[in-house]
Amino acid sequence: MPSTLLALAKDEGIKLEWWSFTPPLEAVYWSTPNLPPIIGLSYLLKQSSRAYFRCILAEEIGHHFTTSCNALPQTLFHYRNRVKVSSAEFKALKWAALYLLPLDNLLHSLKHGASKKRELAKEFNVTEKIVDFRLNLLDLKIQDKKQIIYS
Amino acid sequence: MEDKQFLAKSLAKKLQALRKNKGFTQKKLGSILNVTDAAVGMWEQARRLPDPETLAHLADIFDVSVDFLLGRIAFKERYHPDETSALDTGDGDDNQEILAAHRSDDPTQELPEEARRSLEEFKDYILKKYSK
Repeated sequence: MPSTLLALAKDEGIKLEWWSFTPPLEAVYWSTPNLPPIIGLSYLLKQSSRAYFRCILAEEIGHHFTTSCNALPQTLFHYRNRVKVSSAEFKALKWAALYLLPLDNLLHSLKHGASKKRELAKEFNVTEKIVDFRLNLLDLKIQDKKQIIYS
Repeated sequence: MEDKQFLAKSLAKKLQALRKNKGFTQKKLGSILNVTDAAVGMWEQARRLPDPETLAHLADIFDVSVDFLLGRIAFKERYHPDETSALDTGDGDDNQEILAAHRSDDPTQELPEEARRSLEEFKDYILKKYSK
């Protein structure tokens, strides 16, 4: 289990609950008045790779940090193979990508020869998809990205 | 005029969404209205309709109009200008709450029916577990 993410959730008072969600639903962040913030996780995630699970959990925690206000009820969820990403999901995804692939560490890896998305994904223990997303965020300069994109 | 079945179904849907977004269990709502949780369950399954007094009380609790509860209008605003709800919880966010519950861009609409149902079951479980 990704202990830093779990510790972070705990510090924020988020309750984690496993549930038998019907696929493609995999995870949900639910915040509503009178209840603590909740992250529901599908039991199926227990069988997925650690990298995949880390990304999902980070995105759900990202919802906690990026939704405007806890007084509003929010139901935000992740499902496999989604096509559209709403603005709330984009914010959460961005939070997750920045958290899992911090700029300094990423630049360090790029400088020290990581040249494929696969390598970065392995090094940071995340999915290639989130590496892809991370490389498109604006804190990276073109020259930083070049060696990956054109290699 | 809408038939009874239509009204019951509209109310069932609205009531369930409003109740969950307020973080109430059926029992909690029942205790406010002085009815059993089974009665609330009947309304939410569209098997019964509450009497007019209770209906008005429900509208007060969720700060919506009775017409909205019965599905006769799509917007939630109340007709009468009296803004002091009889059972205002005092957190001042009741209006926004309902707005969010009935946005037309409800993201759960993207999910297949089965997945949406599992999400609803999850919410019920959470409400039971964490509601005081």
